[in-house]
Amino acid sequence: MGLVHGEEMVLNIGPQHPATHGVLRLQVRTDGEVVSQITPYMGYLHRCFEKHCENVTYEQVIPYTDRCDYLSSMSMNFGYVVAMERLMDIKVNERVEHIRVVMAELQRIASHLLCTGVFGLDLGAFTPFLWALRDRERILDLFEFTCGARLLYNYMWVGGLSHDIPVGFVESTFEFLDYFEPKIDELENILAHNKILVERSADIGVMPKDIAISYGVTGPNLRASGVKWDLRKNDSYSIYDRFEFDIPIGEGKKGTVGDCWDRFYVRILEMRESVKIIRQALASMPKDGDVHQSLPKKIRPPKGSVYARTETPRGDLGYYIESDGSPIPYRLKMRSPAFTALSVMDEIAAGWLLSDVLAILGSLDIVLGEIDR
Amino acid sequence: MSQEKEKLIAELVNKGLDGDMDSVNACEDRVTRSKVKAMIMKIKKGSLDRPQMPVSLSDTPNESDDTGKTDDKTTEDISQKIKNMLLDNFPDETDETGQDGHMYVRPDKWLDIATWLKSESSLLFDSLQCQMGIDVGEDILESRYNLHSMVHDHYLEVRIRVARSNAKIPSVEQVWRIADWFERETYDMLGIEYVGHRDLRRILLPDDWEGWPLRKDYKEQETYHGIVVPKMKEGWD
Amino acid sequence: MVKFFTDIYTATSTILGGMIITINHLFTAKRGIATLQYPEERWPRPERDIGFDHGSYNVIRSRLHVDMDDCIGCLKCERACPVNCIKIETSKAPERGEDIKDVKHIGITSNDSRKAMVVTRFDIDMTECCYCNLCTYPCPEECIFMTGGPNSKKHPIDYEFSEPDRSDLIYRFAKPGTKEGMEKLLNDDNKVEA
Repeated sequence: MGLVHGEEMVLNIGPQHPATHGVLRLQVRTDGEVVSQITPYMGYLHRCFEKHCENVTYEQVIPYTDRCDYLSSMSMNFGYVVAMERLMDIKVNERVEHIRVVMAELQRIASHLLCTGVFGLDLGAFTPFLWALRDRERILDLFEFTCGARLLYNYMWVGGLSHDIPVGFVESTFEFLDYFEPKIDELENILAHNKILVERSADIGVMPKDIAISYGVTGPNLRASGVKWDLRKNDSYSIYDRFEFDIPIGEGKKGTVGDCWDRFYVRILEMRESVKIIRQALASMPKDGDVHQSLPKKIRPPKGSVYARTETPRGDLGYYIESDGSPIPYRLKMRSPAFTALSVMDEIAAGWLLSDVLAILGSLDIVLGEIDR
Repeated sequence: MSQEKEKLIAELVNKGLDGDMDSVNACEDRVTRSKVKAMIMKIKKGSLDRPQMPVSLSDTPNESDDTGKTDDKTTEDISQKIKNMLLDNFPDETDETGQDGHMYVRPDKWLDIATWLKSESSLLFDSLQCQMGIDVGEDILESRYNLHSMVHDHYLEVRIRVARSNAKIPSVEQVWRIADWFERETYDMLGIEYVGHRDLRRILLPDDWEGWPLRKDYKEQETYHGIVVPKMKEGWD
Repeated sequence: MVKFFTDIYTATSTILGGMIITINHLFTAKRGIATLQYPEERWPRPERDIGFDHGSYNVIRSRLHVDMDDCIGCLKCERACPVNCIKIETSKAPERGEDIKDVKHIGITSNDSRKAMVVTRFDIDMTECCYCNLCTYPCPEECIFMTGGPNSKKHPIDYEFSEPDRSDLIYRFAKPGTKEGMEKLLNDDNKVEA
């Protein structure tokens, strides 16, 4: 690869591209077909989220957080609510905690389904994408049953939830889980072990452990590099410490530890763990309890600051909230996991072919709404 | 005044008020002795409140039934120990002020401190969780770093204060590689310049945007390349 | 050499395995064809039984509607909106709870509260609305709501309200002529008093 030098070419994988997961511009310097440097340019979807949050009240921030990572809105809400409850020292009752965990895990399954489907789509497999979306539709139906919205929910409020779950939700979810578990195996059989996909993604874009930690990569990307780190177990929030589930890490089954295939496979394994958590949470949910019990009348947190992290499908979401005693936040910073995942792109994609760049980008699972906020 | 001195003064004041003036007179440092005596006079007159008797670090913690409390105490102890280590090793550059005892570091030797924080074996802060900038008013900008150690699982928050007119902080992107993009974002939004950064330019806004949006006195520009930046919809008043 | 043959074997076996799943799918898909012919067929809205009185639980996100006869002009929904898409202007009613025939203002709401303000302007810009439902919770008279579901008695469900012109999507709920009528009324009152 290094013996014959072609001409250096600067190529633009432009903002309007179906495979860049949003409006992202990648400026690629190639030496023939081999990539030597990638510079991502972002900001096409910047909607001034942090500046908006300095002008609206704490309750009104929640629809804004929904729209940052629009593919996993429940997790965005959850992170904000956990941070606010830590700042204001509010304790919510058991029913609220169980419902929040169920919603967050359902959202994790939905997001991972989309990510794995789209990874296949980027590499040319069209059918698994449609199957993944069909199963995701059933989850979105469950969400619509609960709060009326399919994608941007505004469901988790500071101190509780906006609505209680309707009668019949628990049975529908159990039905869905029974339908869905064999589908994970089907998806794995049709996509994960397929030789074409393995050839295109194994041993490509290897991310070693120390680079992953130094670049702040978290979530499934970090776990695929072999680090057993999951905020739900290591820095537990809400009631995750009561449930039993494993943390899948990448083992380099088809290639090296930390390659694209590992990142893709870890997500499939995580869907199985989420199903386990949902079953346990639904079984132990208390039957009575008012979800509006701890809603504060007026949200006026004490002066101070808090930094709280939660685990979203893409990694570690952090909210740094600084309050000055008024009902409007003084400063709110969202540390998004996809931002750090994209920053490692230059390091791991240099030296591979141009078509591998898209495989690497797909395996990192970025959402531009979260990067640009 | 350092923590030890304050604790000594509080201890001696309490002893003096309880009637034990000998230990006050036994103190060799003239300055401390006079401070203690002045404080005792003021408390007797009523213009000052009696300080609490400080608990020395060798005291065993009280047994409490609530295990949650001892957990909080251990995390507080650990974070206090980390802060003390930082204070001891770099006494001129750091100090602990503000409510909740936040760590403030002076910007001049921040790169050395950061390298020390990452390499010191009992600390090993190998991941920078979040770096953000904030405009705290009165012409002061702050740059805050949330550090975390994957090995030891402890946290630290470091804050650096700079004046608005001269906002320059050394860049730590050699220590934690993610600081590269975080610092670009803080530069973009607040205008804090990171000295030594390899490529400091705007990341979210277009390269030729004017102004630093997250500052509290930010005014949007009137036009951008001939497009009018809208303030309010027409007809909506 | 051996690797060559094992590669061929893994390739064919995994690809064939995938194809068998696809072909199975062709014959055993239970729900049939998933495509709906849209204008004629619609995906049904789920019937919801919360388990207790629906009154305050509107879980549908659809078009916003305001019952002007019930609005007391408290401005709570305007303050609750995160994107400032509601604009309300009120003017003081000369007598609390009395009907004013000139501007078709009814003094008492359906919940028997007497109105102190006359709403002269109530505009909602549906192009800005983010359908978060935050405006419906604080309303004390439940006069702003999203259509359908538990509020079907007041207004049937409507989530297909696209318009060819964007300015048609600014919904003006105040009764036309209220503003001028109230100004005239107050001026006449002043003249009579003077």
